[in-house]
Amino acid sequence: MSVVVIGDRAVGKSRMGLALAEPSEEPKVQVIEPDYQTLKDEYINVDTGGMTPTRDIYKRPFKIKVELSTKRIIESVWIDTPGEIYDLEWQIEHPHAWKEFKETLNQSLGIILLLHPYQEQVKPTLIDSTDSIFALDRETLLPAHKWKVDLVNWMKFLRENCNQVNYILICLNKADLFCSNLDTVGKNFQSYPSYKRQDEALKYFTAAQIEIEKYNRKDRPFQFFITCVKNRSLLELPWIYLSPYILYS
Amino acid sequence: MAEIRIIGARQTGKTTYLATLAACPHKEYFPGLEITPIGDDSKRLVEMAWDIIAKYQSLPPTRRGSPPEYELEIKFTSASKPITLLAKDYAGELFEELVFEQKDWSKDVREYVNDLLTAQGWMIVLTDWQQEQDTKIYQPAIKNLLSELNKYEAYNKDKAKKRIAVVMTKCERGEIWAGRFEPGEDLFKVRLPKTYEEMMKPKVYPQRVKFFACSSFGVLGDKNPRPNRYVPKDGSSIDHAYLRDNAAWQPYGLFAPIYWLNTGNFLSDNRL
Repeated sequence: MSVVVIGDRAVGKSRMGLALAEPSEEPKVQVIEPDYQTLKDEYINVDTGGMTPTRDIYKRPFKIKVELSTKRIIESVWIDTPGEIYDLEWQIEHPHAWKEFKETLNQSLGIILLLHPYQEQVKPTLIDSTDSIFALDRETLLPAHKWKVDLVNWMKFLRENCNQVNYILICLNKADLFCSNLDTVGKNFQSYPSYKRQDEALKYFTAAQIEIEKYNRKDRPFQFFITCVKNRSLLELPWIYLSPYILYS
Repeated sequence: MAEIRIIGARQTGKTTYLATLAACPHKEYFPGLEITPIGDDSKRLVEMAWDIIAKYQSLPPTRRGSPPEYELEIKFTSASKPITLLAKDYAGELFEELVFEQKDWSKDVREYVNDLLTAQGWMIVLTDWQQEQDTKIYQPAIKNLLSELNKYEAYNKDKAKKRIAVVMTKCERGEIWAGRFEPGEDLFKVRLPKTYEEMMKPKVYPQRVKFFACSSFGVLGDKNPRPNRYVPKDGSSIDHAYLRDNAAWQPYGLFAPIYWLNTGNFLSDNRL
């Protein structure tokens, strides 16, 4: 059973996989196959140091080492997707590929949707202090009211097209742009029981609180996270959540 | 050996019950109590309890199709003879489809019923979250199931009458916790009256039916009766709850129905 990572262009889908493969001290989640170097060679543009955009839907078997009640190795298929396919124009131009993708999506074990933060949420000082390879223009982010519509559209899409999928995770990515104390937040989040993580993560989604209550699934509710490639603790949490389901599927 | 079937609608906590029973997180309170999972499926069930329930997540729903079979050897004291439980865990959807007239049952529902009829005992698991379930699902489904049982037993007169344990799960909730000592009178009769009435009809042979209350999560402590459950504020259904504190995980009444199904006797310690 596969895990599909979806989300708009440049939201950090491939980088999530790369960052989880990067060796780290006492990781709770570590992608061990493919190894970090293989992924780095593939994803990083040597001239710019930035990510090479994903051009195709890419299904890749992977193994991760994860700390559950004991350490486990789990295997699944990671499906990485190019951000273009979530544009309406692309879907209209490629109806067969889009239909096929939606079928693949609905057959997956889990879906991880990565979202950009919204304009009002990000702190200009944090944008200014970010490394050049992560540079981002605040104006390219959606303002809260449009971000909310975008999230509602995602939730409607997931409810309509992914009713077979038990585990749908919605991650507000790039938490370094809206959390000034990222290390503390990461440590806290990793110490929370899963239900508290859900409540705490939802505090970062307050712009869409009413809509989330309305469009969340009554059973198999969407799980909410904040994530960031610069903070291993936050990045690992969606995978810690999914791992037992992959293991016991 | 008690070969039983766990029967109930979706989200009544059937698999959580079995996984908690197999993992027995409160073993330390009962010296001599030993649960040995037999076979890969049962060992996996124990791991699921620790990797999922104890990590504050919910177990995956049981899918239709061939049901997992779990075998557990349970020893209540070091001196007692062990009992063996062989349980099949069916998808809740199958139970819900028993509400249709028998002639409209699908092939897998018919196979499900045929398999239930071959078991020695039934454990019917119900909750009272949505009280309309009493008339919408539980009573009509049980009525149809019992009618099949009557036919089966009329035809197989040589076989012993099946024992039926009717269990209300998720009893840690404050409003029903107090009713756990007399579950027939104080829980089922009051909260699921039509279902209770159905089970008590003379043609069902009510002597074979016993009512139980159990909780896979339990309460937070002997002096803290708050439920060890957490309902998140994410718009999901109120019955979608998680274990609140794994250090205080002390389930209640899990063994009683199995012991009765197996032996026809009751355990003296009602916490078991």
